[in-house]
Amino acid sequence: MDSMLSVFKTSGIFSVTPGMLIMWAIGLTLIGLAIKKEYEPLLLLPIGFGILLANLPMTDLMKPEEGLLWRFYHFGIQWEIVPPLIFLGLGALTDFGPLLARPSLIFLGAGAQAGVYFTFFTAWLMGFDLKEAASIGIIGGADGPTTIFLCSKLAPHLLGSCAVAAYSYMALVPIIQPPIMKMLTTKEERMIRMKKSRKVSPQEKLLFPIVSVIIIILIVPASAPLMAMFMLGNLFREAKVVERLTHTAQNELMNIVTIFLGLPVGATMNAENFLQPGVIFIFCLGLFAFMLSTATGLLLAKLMNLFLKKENRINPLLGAAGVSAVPMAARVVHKVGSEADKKNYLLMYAMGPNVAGVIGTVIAAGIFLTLIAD
Amino acid sequence: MSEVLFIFTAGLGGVFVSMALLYASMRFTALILEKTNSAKAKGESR
Repeated sequence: MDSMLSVFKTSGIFSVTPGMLIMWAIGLTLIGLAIKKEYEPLLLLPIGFGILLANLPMTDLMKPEEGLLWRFYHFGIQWEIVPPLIFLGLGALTDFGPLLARPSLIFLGAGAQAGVYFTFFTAWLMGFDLKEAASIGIIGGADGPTTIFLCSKLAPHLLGSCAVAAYSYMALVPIIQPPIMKMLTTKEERMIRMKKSRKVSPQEKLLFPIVSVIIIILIVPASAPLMAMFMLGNLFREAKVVERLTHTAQNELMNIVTIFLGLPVGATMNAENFLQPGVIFIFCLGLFAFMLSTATGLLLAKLMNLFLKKENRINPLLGAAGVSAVPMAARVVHKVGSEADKKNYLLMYAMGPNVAGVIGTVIAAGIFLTLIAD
Repeated sequence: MSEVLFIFTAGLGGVFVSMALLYASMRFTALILEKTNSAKAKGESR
């Protein structure tokens, strides 16, 4: 009887705290959303499970130097391995054709970054320090790996909350963006048909990753880990001589690193870290950042139209695709556009600012790192 | 306050400058390739 009791006492049952129970509920909610609603399941499922594991008592899974999940976190994320590998896969999946066909759309990817900087400023006004404010602001870029990359360097204690906020809002793009898009545009504007794109030569597509990686890294060297891998992946794709590498980057490698991204990110969310009043502000500010990025992209498109000839006008909805949620934001642009005019096919045009948004967010993160990191 | 405003301005400005340079590079690359290809086509037709 005594030995039974001692085994019982050494189990984790008596070490469960109310905070842990709340975190279990949060983890299970994310798992539920991933499975039932298919909200970013590739990330929210391992993140949710990571939260659950990190809040089981006496496991030491996140114990520095020893825990299994700590090792994934330390060597994968803190060592800057996993987010750049995700970018390798993203590069291999990205077609820059729509952007090269109409290069001026790249500015919409820049316009959407205004939301990042306005939120950075707002978060600082609310009492967050510069590093925390930058980590929260970057959520507006709607780019999960970039958010994780920046947070792990500037504010690791906010990593879990910022990553979950970023991926949650990315999943909610079809709900968050359309009301803003409709509010800031008239039906006539939404009906604008884009001028037919020119044909992009394979040489242009091949040269783009090489030229752009040189330009971006020269201007913002801190963006190098993500930008270098992004453009390498794209070079694999456009070179058309390394099909095996392209396929691996797009599929097997991407899938493996996705596991090692989601699980440790979730595991950083223990009850002591996460159940703080500040976390609610992070989620609110993240939403604010995302909405603002959508709005600033739209408004920039409208501003550009003031200087363009009638036949070259841009459908302002394309500005909303300047956030990086690829390809969800572009799909939403197409859907809202086709509600105003069924025959208005905007998807391919929206992919231009959408991929520009990825580049813009990486540049914004690089600038934050340059100006704020010690 | 001045530091935050500097980061805000330099950051947003930096993004736009980078994108402007990328825009210029895309236009320039397209122009060069067009010229090269048309020169090649002329050479072949002769």
